[in-house]
Amino acid sequence: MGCPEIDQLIDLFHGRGDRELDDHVRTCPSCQADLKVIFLLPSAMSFDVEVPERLVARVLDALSKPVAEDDVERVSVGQRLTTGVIGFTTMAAALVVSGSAGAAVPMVFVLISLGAGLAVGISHPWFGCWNRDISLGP
Amino acid sequence: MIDLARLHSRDPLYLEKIVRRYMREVIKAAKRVGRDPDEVDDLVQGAWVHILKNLDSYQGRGLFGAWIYKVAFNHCRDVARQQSKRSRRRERMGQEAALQDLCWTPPNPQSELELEQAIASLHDAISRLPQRQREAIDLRCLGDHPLREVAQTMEVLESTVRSYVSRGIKNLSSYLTEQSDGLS
Repeated sequence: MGCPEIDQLIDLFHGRGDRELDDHVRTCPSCQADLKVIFLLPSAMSFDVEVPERLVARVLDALSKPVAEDDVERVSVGQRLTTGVIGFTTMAAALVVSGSAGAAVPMVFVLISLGAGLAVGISHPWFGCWNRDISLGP
Repeated sequence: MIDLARLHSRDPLYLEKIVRRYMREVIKAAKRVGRDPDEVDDLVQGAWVHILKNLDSYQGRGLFGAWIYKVAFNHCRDVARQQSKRSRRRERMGQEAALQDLCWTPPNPQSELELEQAIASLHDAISRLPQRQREAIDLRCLGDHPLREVAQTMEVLESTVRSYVSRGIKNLSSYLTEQSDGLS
């Protein structure tokens, strides 16, 4: 492979490279020099950015607090229990309905009931907790 | 240069040093996205918290300033797009980690002084570039905008943007090589 366009090197910088491009860059001093510039650009182009001391203090204060407070939604034991009970009840109801319907296409009732249960689980914020990041926290 | 042991152990004194040293890069990333000073401040704070959580994915390969900028920029862009889907952010972090494993990255200079000299030289060289080249490099490289968008913003053809960026980077690359040859 010949030297790629600069645009491909920029893609590499942003994590969109491929093996062939990488293999080339590893052995090409010219591309390495260009990539070095691209990697230095964030620092060079922010060289004269003013850094307010109050912002530094604010960030240091935020970093001194326990991590993950802002980013991880927690699900309480009560909510997990509720979800479990709802799921179990839905399943039980499905079995009862299909059983009482006798031999007349019971699987259809089971599927409809499970589908309804799933729809409730997904749409309700409380019961949709399986769809989120779950952390027990520190 | 970067003391990985102190970095990964979240040594508070070392973190303070890192925050002070690399705050410019994070502000630059936040300013690309934030619309007013308050929003920029919020983005900066959020970006640093995000960086702190993901420090372990930096394994000492490549320039730390570039890594910080990319993590901060991706975080700010996600927040701005109101994409609270963590899977996407995790995917990005995975890409950044994978990038370090798979792709060639410039080695860290021998010393902090050497790095600062390279950054200062490059800053000087950038200020001498024609305005349009500088603008195209800023939008394409740091803003990660597709060529088409940069062309629309600058009201020129995509091929012109490609030419601006390519010539600009090549000029900077030559300048930096000459500088380092002159020093050695």
